[in-house]
Amino acid sequence: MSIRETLPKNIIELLKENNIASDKIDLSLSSDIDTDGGYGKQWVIVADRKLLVYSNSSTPRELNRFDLNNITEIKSHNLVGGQVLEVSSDGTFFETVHYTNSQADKFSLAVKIINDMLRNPELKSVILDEWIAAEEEKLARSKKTDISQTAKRKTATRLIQMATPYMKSCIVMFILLLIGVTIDLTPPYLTRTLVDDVLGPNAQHPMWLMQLVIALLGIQLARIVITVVNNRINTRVGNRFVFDLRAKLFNKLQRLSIDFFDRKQVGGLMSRVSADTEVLQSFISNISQGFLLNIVLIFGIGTVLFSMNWRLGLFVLIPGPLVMVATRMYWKHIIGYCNRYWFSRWRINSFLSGSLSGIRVVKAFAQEQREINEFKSRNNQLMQDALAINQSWSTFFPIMSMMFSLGGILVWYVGGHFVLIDDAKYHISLGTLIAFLSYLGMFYGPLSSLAQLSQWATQVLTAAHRIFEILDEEEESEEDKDFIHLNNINGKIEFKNVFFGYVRYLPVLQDISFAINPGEKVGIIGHSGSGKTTIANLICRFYEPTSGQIFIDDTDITLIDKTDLRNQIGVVLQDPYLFRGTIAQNIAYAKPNANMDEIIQAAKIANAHDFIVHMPDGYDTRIGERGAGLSGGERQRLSIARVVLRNPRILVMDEATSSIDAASERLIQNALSDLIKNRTTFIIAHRLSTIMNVDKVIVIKNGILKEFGPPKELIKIQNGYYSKFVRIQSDLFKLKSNFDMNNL
Amino acid sequence: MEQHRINYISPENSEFSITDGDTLQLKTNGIIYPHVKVFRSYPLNQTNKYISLKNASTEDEPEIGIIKDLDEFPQNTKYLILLKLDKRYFVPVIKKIVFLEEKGDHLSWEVETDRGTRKFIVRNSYDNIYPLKNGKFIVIDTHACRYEIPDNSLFQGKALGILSRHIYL
Repeated sequence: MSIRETLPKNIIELLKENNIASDKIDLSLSSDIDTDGGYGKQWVIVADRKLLVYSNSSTPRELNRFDLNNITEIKSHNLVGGQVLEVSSDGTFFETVHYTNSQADKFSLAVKIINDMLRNPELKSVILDEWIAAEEEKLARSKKTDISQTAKRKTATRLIQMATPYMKSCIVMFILLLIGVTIDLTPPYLTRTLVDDVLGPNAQHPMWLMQLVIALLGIQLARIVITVVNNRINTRVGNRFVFDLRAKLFNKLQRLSIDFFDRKQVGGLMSRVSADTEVLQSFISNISQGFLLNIVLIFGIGTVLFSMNWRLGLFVLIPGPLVMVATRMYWKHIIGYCNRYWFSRWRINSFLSGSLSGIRVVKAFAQEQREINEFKSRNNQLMQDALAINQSWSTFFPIMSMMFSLGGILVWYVGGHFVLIDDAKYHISLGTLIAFLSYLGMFYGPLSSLAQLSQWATQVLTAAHRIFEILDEEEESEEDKDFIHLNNINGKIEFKNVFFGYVRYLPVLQDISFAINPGEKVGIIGHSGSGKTTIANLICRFYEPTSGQIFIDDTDITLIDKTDLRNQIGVVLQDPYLFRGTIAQNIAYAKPNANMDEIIQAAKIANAHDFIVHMPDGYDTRIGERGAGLSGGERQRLSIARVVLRNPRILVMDEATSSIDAASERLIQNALSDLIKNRTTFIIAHRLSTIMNVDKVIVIKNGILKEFGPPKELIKIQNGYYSKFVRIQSDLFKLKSNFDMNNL
Repeated sequence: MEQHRINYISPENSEFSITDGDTLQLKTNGIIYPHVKVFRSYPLNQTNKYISLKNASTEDEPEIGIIKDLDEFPQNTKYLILLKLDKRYFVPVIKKIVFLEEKGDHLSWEVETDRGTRKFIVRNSYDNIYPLKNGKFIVIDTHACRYEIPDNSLFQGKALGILSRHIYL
């Protein structure tokens, strides 16, 4: 991704014809949509203070030519799936090249550079070179984490590495397993002796009956002991493994940047932490109990069968391949349904949570029946998918059993012949046949499970892959950087040409610059969606600017230790998040060791004390998820108390009092005025009353800073945004007073 | 409540043309709007109906009016507007799935579309591939570029197997 792409020869020729030497080219970049609107190229070239647009055919044409000195504005405009480069020149508006979002990064960088060239005709190309290199590097860095690709083989190796701490237990389990299998193999041997030498017509040792039965009993007991011990170790290792993994994942999630959570769905993350780790638990338990056991069993029994009578052994093998092939085919068929079933379950769950959390809306609009019908259809889908799986299992399982018994029947027939035959070469005893049949019963089961091995491995590897993907995400703070510690922030804040977009190519903030002195109160006003909250997010460094810089106390925000920064910034959000716990715990969230006086003091400042003590459990009131049981205003006041207790150096109030009535707001403001004295405070507001007495006002519109300065000066601007805002709000106020008067 | 009334733009009260700057110009009720932007109200289900026209010469880009049905317009006018709509809504129609592979949590695609061939990656397939009521599917890639799949006859062979795990077919 470069904004100095190599131009094709014919374009260079064309430039030469226009007297532009190739060493005069400042920018050259291609789009990925051609003039006809299909995938293809057009070239945008900046050279010799001209902006040129060329088509990319074998005989390229000049589509547009602008003189940079005549351009009044150049910007990329968002479309659906792509953007268009818009140029205003000599009073005419031009839509030039179109390109898809995949090219938007380089075009927005180009636009930025061109804008700088417009403003600064003397811009030296050496400076330009350095700047472009730096910006391109920044761009490349931000792209790096876009797609992490971890190969399957690597996943397997890492999975085994993660299991290393449990190796000792695994070895013990394996030894126990070998002993267990050996024990499993003995009873049929004993029954053979029982049939041939004790019970048969030619029995030579009828007295052994007692001893043999006791031996059989002893073997059963030993088997139980081994099974119990093995299972206990197994579950302990499995749970321990998952415990460690879950903890690792959660620690990681807490350290990831907000940007990551914007990219991923929270629901998906939850399933990774809970479901995927459980799949991995099966990995541990399956190693010893599942496929290892099966392999050992197959080899053990196979050896015994062949050593007893290799001719019969050959007949045993006949259904073997059939079992394997049938199982594999079955799994191939069923796996799609399994995934679908999983999806259906996910769909029904998400519907359920949506419908139940919105139950008030459902009832208010009397739409219960519609919800019931919608649920019915999803429920039906789930049933269909479950049915598909169960039905095919119900068919498959009996067929499998039949195949197993087919082997048995063959052995009965051929083995029966061998028993009856007198030829010493082929003859076997009845006891041998019975023992043979018992071994056979133990043989096909493991074979069939082994056929599912690849499926199981895929499942485990996919789960592991999903988990590693999170573990591999780049963390919020890069450890290799030396961060500057600011233990006592004064509160000087400066934005310098800040551009930002949550999705890089959709800029939310464009070229924002302002400077705030320590202790100043700043009001930010603008329409909803104009970028007010984004400014707050950037000050908290939840995100980093796409380009430009933010300084706090003259230090670049990206160099400040994040913990230092956030410890000294307090944010009150419009929709405050409260955690499950008591009111006191929620207020003391950022200062868990706060004493009761401090908590009450903070609540008083936030005008929350009165309503809290009115509650039956006072400060000990337990509140539900997201503060269920409290009104919007009460939640906001609690979150203000939380910030008050934190005592930050910089305070950001993001429509913090929007759900609070005017009288309470006044009370909170009065109380806060002490708190915010000498602290830099940002107040994002819709209401004029909220930003009374601020030192400066920032007016933002569509991501662009329109006005900035003391309100006294802004009000003087004829038709200015701030003066309009004040006028509208005053009219509203008048309207409201009239209304109140009429209703008295 | 003047501002809530829908101002319908019909062939009778309008005149469209293209300016030198390649923008759409509208003359209606004696007023000339030299830079008009076009928006679909129902981009997925009604592509030629309820086209919103906005005056991009003003900062707030207020709506000038709505075309209720583009098909009522003469062929050349319809062509001009469709040209602009196709540029705003760059949604290639997939003609053939050349290659589809599952890689971890994303799907890697290579397709032939009405606008040429393209490779792209789709994440969170449950959210980013969704069926419409009319049998079409919309696919959104990691760059938020959109693609349309006209119907499920494109899903065949290996692609069908993979997609059956990601969407309802």
